[in-house]
Amino acid sequence: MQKLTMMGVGLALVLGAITYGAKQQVMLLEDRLASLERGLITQKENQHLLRAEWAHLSNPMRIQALAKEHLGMMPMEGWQLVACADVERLFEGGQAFPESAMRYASAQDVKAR
Amino acid sequence: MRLKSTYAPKSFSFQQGRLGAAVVQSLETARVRLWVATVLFLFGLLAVFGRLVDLTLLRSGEELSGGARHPAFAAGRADITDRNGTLLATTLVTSSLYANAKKVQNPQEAAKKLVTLFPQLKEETVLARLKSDKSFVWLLRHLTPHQQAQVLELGIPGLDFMRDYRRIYPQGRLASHVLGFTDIDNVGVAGVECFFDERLRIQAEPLRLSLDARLQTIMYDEIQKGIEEFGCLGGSGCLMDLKTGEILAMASFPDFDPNKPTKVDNPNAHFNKVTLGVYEMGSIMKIPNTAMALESGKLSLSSTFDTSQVLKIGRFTPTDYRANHGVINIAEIFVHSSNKGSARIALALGGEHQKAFLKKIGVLDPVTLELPEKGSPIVPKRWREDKVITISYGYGLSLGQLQSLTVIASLVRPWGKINPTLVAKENDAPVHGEMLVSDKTRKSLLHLMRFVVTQGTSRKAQVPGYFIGGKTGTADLLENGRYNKQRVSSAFLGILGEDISSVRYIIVVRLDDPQRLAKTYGFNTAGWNVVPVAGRIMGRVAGVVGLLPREDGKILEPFFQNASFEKK
Repeated sequence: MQKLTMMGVGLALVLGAITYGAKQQVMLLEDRLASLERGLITQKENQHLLRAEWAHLSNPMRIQALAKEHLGMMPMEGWQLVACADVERLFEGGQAFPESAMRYASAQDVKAR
Repeated sequence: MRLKSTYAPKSFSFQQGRLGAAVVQSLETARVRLWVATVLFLFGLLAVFGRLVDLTLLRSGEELSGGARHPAFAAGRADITDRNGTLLATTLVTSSLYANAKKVQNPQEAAKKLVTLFPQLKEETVLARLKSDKSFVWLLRHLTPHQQAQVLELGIPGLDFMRDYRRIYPQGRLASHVLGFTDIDNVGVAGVECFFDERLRIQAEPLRLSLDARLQTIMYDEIQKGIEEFGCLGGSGCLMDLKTGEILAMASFPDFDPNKPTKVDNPNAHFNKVTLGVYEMGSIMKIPNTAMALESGKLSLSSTFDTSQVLKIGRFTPTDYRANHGVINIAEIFVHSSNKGSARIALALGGEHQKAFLKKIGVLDPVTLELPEKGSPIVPKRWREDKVITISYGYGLSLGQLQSLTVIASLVRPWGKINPTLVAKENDAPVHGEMLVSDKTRKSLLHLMRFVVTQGTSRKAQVPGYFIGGKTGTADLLENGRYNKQRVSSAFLGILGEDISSVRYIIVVRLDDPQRLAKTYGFNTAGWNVVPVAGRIMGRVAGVVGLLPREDGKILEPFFQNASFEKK
């Protein structure tokens, strides 16, 4: 009887110790999770902010103004497009664009615009 | 000195039995007291131990599940993007300054310090709030982190910050009239922000609009330049995908910055001219008028009318712009934009017929769109003969620009009636609707609009290699109930595609009160101002959407095989 009681008490102690250990580990992990989640929220907020800033910086009107000022570029127009199939033919003829487009370009005085 | 011990207790034993009953009694009392004290201490210890277990092992009172303890990142209000995911509206986390007025010790000094830091605040207002004895008063909303640090440096007790959200429009003015704006508490009060207010507050995923930021930029840029170039009071424009009815660009001037919606230079800046304003369409109305003639079964493209005779009904005498065309057919009436001819067509078919046809194609009922700012057409109460005439060439009936765009789109697209939308569709499959006119009429309209651009009033809209068809509309401005012939509102409605059998986009552009300039040879009609602006927009749009310049002048209707509308 006494032996059984002792075993019971021993088992309870061992199980208690294991439970305690597991519990402590869970608590540590919980804390780590919480801090990671906090970090995640901060990162997401930063990401959100950067996305907004990127959208602001890549505003097409802004890019257009910058490209015009620093690169001397101007908006492309449809007549400058050439179908892949036509490239070879035009290249052999030594011209960049179809005749109609060239006429249009000179008529519009494209360089001045 | 030797310390003498004075304490020398005698040893005694209960067995000695020499002690009296009184001593036994007091010993018993002491025993009981000891027991009581022991039990009390034990309870105390147990409580301490229990709490210890509770704190270390059980962590009672604390929620263990991670989700509820840490609220997920909440952006407050869903983003709005264009069709390609470009951010048009988003919400940023900011700090807002409030005060617990009960805790502010020196309101005068605090108010003075705050006003030095934020000149936009009024000292009296701040002081009144700080003296209000309330435990919560707003002082300033939406501070930047830098401003927050500055306030902290002031070290005023009783001030505190609250996490707040602020709506930001990274593209600035670009699509202001479509987006609208929110009030300081992030409740939508205009535009899609208002129309989709509940959706934006409840659902987290971004609202994807049909707008294309690139095409919107083109529209915005060119109309703005056009307004400057021709000294206009304002202008507007709208571009729609004929296949799906999606609005790809919509601009209205004067405009505003939705980031600062109350700071406007013009009292009409919030007014969306495309959807809310209603205007007389001018000659653009000749498109429905011609469609009506061709659909009537009584008239055809070659039916002729005498436009040399003066036509006078009621107060109105239609006149033709710059020319007497004589006896001409319906195609010529359209391409030369003859008011007299259009009037004769309408009279030949009658008012009932005209009203029924306009009702059928959707001119008389308001158009639907996901915006709260929508105007209803102004339709004459009594459809008298003088109205029949004026309506045939675009006076006496006022429509929103979006509505004229939608009506014409429904006539020229091969898939029938369409409703415009501001929400992006899943794919670009054509949306089918009720067929309003026959395919023959539809093709004829496209040919006629094409001739207006190649040989008529809209030659400046031509971009080589593309199918561009259109019709101008110049309407005299209505001032105090009278038409001012000197001031006009000029509009162009255009169709763009690679060729006539694959028309893809429809556009309407309008300039308000363009000036008569030396370079326009003193003219202020549409062909000189709004047409080149629309042409530039279409030229740039074609490049961005990747339409290839390969129009081959294909003729689909035999009538146009050898047609020429050049003036002899």
